[in-house]
Amino acid sequence: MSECTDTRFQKLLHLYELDLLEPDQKEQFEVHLYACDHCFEAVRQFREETLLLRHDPDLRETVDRIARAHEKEAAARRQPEPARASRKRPWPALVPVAAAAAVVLLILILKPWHVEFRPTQEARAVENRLAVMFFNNLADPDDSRQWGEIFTNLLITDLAESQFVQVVSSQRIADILYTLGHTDYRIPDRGVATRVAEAAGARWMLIGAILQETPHIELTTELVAVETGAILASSRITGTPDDDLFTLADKLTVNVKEDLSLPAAARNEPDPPVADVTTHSAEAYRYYLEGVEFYDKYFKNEARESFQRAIEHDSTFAMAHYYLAFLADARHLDKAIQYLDRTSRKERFYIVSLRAAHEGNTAQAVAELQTLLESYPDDKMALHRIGTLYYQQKQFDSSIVYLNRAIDIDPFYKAGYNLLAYAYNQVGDLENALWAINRYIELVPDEPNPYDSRGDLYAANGKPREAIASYLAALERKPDFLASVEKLGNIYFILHEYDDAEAQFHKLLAGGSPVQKEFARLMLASEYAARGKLRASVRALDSCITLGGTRETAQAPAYLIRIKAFIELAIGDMDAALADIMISMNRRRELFPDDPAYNRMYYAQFLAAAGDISAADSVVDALRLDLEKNEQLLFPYQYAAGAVALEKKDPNAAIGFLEPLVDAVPNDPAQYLLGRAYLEAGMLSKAVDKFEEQLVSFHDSWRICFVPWSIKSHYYLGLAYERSQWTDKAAERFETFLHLWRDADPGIPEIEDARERLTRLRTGT
Amino acid sequence: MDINTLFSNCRQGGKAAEEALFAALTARFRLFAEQKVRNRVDADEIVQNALMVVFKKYRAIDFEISFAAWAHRVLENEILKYYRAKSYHNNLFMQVEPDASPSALWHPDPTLKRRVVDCMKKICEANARYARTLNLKHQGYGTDDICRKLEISQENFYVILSRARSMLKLCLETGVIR
Repeated sequence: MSECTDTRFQKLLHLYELDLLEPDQKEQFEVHLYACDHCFEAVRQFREETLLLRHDPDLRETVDRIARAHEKEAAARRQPEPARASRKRPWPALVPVAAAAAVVLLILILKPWHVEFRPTQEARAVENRLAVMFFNNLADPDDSRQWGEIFTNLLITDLAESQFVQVVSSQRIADILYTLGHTDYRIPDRGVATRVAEAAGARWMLIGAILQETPHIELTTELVAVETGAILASSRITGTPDDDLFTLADKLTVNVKEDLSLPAAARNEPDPPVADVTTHSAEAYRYYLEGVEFYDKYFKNEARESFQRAIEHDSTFAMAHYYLAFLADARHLDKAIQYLDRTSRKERFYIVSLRAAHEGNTAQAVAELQTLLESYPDDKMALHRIGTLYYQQKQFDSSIVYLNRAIDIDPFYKAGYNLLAYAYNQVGDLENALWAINRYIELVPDEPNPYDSRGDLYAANGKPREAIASYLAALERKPDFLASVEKLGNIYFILHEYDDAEAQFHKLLAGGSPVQKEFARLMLASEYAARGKLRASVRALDSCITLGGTRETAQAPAYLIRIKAFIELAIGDMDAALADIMISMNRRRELFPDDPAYNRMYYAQFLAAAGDISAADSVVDALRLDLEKNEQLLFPYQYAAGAVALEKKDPNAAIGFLEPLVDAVPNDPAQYLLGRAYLEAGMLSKAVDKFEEQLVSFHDSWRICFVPWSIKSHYYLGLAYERSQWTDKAAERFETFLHLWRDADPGIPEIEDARERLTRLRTGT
Repeated sequence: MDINTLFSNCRQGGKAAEEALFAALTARFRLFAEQKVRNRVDADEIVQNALMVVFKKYRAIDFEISFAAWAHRVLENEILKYYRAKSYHNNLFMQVEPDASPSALWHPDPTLKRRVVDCMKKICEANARYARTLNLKHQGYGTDDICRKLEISQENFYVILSRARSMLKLCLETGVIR
C-alpha cells in the first residue's frame, strides 16, 4: 500500500482512534482519510479494536487498574526515604560512582521490570472518588430537623452530577459504618472517617459540620487526601439570610470541585441547582431520604408511607414517584416521567428504564441502564436493577452475572446478596444461594429481611420447618414485618396447621396494606375449601367480594370472583361457575383493555367442563387469533386448548398443549392439568413426578389460590401410585386426602372414590 | 486513489468512475458513522441518507472547499440531524444513544475482545505512560492536560501512542509485544 500523503496526520492516527483530538483536528484528520488510502485503511482495519478501546467497560477497568498500580508505584518511589538509624554502609565510600551505577544497571537488566500489584478491594483508591461524610450538626447535636443528613445527601447528589468525580453514595457510607460497628450515621472522629473512606476506595474525603442554623446557616468543611491524611482545602461558608440548605449545597459543590484537581472541562460542565434535580422542599426531601432508608431494609409499608408524604410536600418529586411505582401503584411512573427534567443525570436513566420495563421492553430497559454504567461504571444499583430485569425474564444466569458484579463493587451490598440468593436458587444452586443469604445475614443480623429471604429459599426447596424457623426469626426482629407474616400464614396453611395460619392472617388483616388485607380475607375464606367445606367457602368469598376493592386493589374483586368460580367448578355447580367466570373475565377486560386474553382461557375450560364443547372450541380459536394478532405469547391459548382437550378425553392432545408451559409458568394450574393428562394417558411415572413436584414446594401461590385442586392433587397422586402398583404409597395418599377432607361437604365424588380404593388397597381385594 | 481524484474522474463522466467514487465514499461514511453512532442499523441509515444528498447535489455544486470536505460535512449534518430527531431527553442528554435497539448495538466479538484485553494488559504493564494516558482519558482529560500531568511534550506523546499502537498490532498478530 502507498504511504501516507501527509505525515503530519500519520502521527495523529492513534490519537484519532482514542478520540483524543480536538474537534477541529479531528475534522481535518477525517477529511485527510478521504484523501489518504494508507491512513484510511489503517483506521478501517483497526476499527473493531478501536471500538473496544473506546467503549468496552472490561477493557477500561483492566487498563485503569494497571494505571493505578503504576501510579502507586511511582508515588512510592517519590516518597523521601525515612530517616534511618545510622549503620555501616555495606560498601566503602571509596567505591566509584560509575561502578555503583554499573551494578544498578546490571540489577535492572536482570530483574523483571514490572512489579505486580494486586490491591485488595479495600486498599484500591479510585483516581477520582470522593467520600462525603455526614455533616455533624453542631448547632443542634440531636439534629432534630435532620439538617445534617439532608445537607449531606444534597451535596452528594449535586457533586454526583459531575462527570469528572465519582461520589460514594450515602448508603454505601452507612453500610460501611455499620460493618465497623457504628449504627449511627454520624461519624464520631477523623479515624473512623478515614477507615470509611478507605473501605469505600475513595481518594478524597470531605468532612464538614453545620456550625449554625439561624439566623443564617454556617458550615465548615475540610477536603482531605485519604491516603496521606493531608488537608487539601478547608473552608468556612457563611450563608446569607436567604440561603437554604439547597443553595448552600450548590455553593459548596462549586468550591469542592475547584479544590479537587479536576480537568479543565469540569469547570464548564452543566451544574444545575440541586433543588432543580431533587426537590425545592426540605420536608419532601427528608421524607424521601427516610423512604429510601426504609426501602433499603425492605420495610415496604413504611417506605411507601414516607414517599407518599414526600409527594404531599412536593407533588413534582420525580424520584419519590419512581419508588412509589414499585411500592404502591405503577401509575406513579407516569408522574415520574412527567417530571423527568427535575431529576439528576443518573436518576433519569432509572426512570426511563422503568418505563421501558413497564412497556414490556426489557431489552430497552437494560440498554438504558447499561448506558448509565458507561458514565457510572461503579453504580451497583444499576447492576442490581439489570440483574432484577433479567431475573424477571427468567434469565437467571445473566442475572447472576450482574448481581455478582454489583457485590464485587460493594461487598457490603445487601440487596445484591438478597437477589443473588434467589437467582442461584432458581438455577438449582442451593449451596451458593445459602452462601449469599448467609452473607446477607452476616452484614445485617438485626434486620428481618435476610431471614425472610432465607425462609423463602427453604420453602422453595421443600423444607417447611426450616422456612418457618427463618420467618419466625424475621418476626423476632420486627414483629410487624408483614412479608414474613404472610408467608408464615401460607406455609402453615399448606401444612394444614390452620389455627397457626389463621393467627397470621388476622395479623395481616389488622396491619397489612389493602392488598395484604384482601389476601388475608381470601385465605380465611379458603380455609373452608381446604377443609372441603366448599359451599361455606363460596359464601365467605361472597363476603370478601362484596367488600369491594380500593383503588389500589381494583383488580381484587375480579381475582376473588375467579377463585370462587373454581370452587363452584369443584362443587359441580356449573351455572354459578360459568356466570362467575364470565363476570371475572369482563372485569378483567375493563381493568386491562390491552390484555387480549382477559382470562378467556378459564371460560373455555369451564364451558368444556359444562359439556358445551363446541362453544369451548370457539372461545379457544378466538383466543388464539387475538393473541396472534396482538403478537402476544400463546400461553393462555395453550392452557385453554389443553384444558378443553382434557374434557374431550384426549389426554395426548392436552399434553401437547400443556407441556410447553412447564418451563414458562411453573407455578400455575396448568401443571395440575398436565399431571391429570399424564394420568389419563397412562404416563404414570410422569404423572407421579408432576403431582409430587406440585406437592413438595411450599412456596407456590397457586396451591393456596386453587385450594380444591391442591387438595385433590393428593387424590390424583394416589391414583397414579395405584395404577403403578405402588399400593402402599397409593394408600398413604388416599388416607391423606381423606383426612384433609374429613369434614368436607357431602357428595364430593373424589371422596367416595378414594374411600372405595383405600378399602380395596387395605383389604387386598 | 483519493476521493478528490475519484471525484474529478467522475466529473468527466462514466458510470464506472461514479461507482468507484461512491464505493470509496460509502466505506468512509460507514467508518465515521459507526464511530459516532453505536447503533449499526441507525448508522447505516445515516450513511444512506448522506449518500443520497451527495448523489443529488455533487454534480451541480461548485465546490469552494474540496469535495471530500464537503461530503464530510454532509455526513456530519446527517449525524447531527439524527441526534436531534431521536433525542427524547432534554439537551443535557444529547450524548445519550437514544432508542438503541440492543440487537443493533455494537457487540464485540468475544474472541477478539479477549485477545485485545490480553494484549492491552501486556502493553500497559510494560508501558506505564500509555496506561496512564488511557486512564486519564477515561477520566475526561484532554491531550494538553495529559501531557501536563505526564510531564511530556506533545511530540513525545505522539510517539508514545504510535509505539503503543504498533505494539498492540504486533501482539494481536503474534501474541508478543516486542
